[in-house]
Amino acid sequence: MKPRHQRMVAIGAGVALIAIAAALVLNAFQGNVVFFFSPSQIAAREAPQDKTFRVGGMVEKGSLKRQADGLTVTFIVTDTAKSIPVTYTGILPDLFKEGKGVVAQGKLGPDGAFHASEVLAKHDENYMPPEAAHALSKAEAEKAAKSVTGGAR
Amino acid sequence: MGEAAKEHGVNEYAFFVWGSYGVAALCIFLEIYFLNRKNKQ
Amino acid sequence: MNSELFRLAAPQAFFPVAGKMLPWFSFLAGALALAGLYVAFFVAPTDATQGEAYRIIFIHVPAAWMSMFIYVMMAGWAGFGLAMNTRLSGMMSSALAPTGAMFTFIALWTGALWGKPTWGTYWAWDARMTSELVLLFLYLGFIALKGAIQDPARADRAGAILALVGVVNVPIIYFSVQWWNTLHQGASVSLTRAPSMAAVMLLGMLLMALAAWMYSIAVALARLRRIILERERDAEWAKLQRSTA
Repeated sequence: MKPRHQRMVAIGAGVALIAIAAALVLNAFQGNVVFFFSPSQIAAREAPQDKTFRVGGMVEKGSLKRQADGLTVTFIVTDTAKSIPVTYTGILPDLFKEGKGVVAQGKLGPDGAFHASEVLAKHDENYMPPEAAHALSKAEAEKAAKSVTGGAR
Repeated sequence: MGEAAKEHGVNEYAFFVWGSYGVAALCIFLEIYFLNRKNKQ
Repeated sequence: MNSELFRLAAPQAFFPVAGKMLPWFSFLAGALALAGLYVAFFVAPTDATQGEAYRIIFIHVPAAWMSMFIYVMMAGWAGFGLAMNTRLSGMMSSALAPTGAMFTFIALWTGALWGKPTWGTYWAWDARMTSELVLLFLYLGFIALKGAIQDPARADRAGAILALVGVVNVPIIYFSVQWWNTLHQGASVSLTRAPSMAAVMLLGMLLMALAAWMYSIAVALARLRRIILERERDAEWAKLQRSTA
């Protein structure tokens, strides 16, 4: 082997070793890389009990309620399997909507509810004009209606 | 900001959009400027 | 063909070639950016959920793509130079670094200004954002390390090792949104499935991405010419070149 080929093999092996090391380190820190816990994880007691953490999921449709003071809101975060009630006092981000993604930071209260100090909206990677979004939701509603009537028959 | 901006006919996101493109343009301008200045030395 | 390539690997031979290519890439960058910005602001429709705020995507995504791609190119050239002992490779990696750092900064900055109106925060320590910030530090470290070592050959070797170690960060940035829970959404455009955005929006983004490519090539060529002249300043041809320029 020529020296330059030897060096090339050595560099390739070096990069491979670093990649493996990085993969191992990342694997070990998997828990710390997690930005939020899902309601299922909280139900399984995988989330910290007395410390601040984040919960992420969908805002359940029809669950958003505003309290009498006008600033405190309650809603339910769900990952379709499990769900958790959240209370929050403050201004919600523009993209916060029922049926959309949300990440809330706070603590688990003794009442089993999540008391959030910060609420962030998590949006998806779909971009489309309003007309297309409208057509899409209409088509979905029709599909849902069809499956209901189909089930009745 | 939201409602007040809408009433004045200014999009409520204008600050964020122009803040993004403005700074990006400034970065590109500075890069080209320093490249040409160093070339002349 | 092969011997022609070897001839071009000499800094002295590549210098005039880079000079000839420069205006073409500059022109393409400008034309594509104008077309891209026109589509981005006058043709592309408003987004259904994000309104006008989504228009940041046309600068944010191309900048983020470039920040990762330039790093891979930079590390590739640095590694090639380390293995083959070619002088031009190290200079190429040096020429790419500042542009890569600039695109990383633009990606972070526009991301912050996009996050505030949509997510509700400028910054969050999620895996995507943190790894992109690490990328900026890798670029700055590479530039600082090369600047700190006087002897060009030693600077190239040290820089190459840093660049190669850091290259593991690039797949971490790219796949972070799949591997972990992040605030950042997944990719709208990927090689494995159809893009999840309207065709006109995609067109604007691709035009801007192409413009960023052409810009990067043009700026890297111009910087490479400067680096070649600097490093070869004692050679006769470089002295001649400076006196005529």
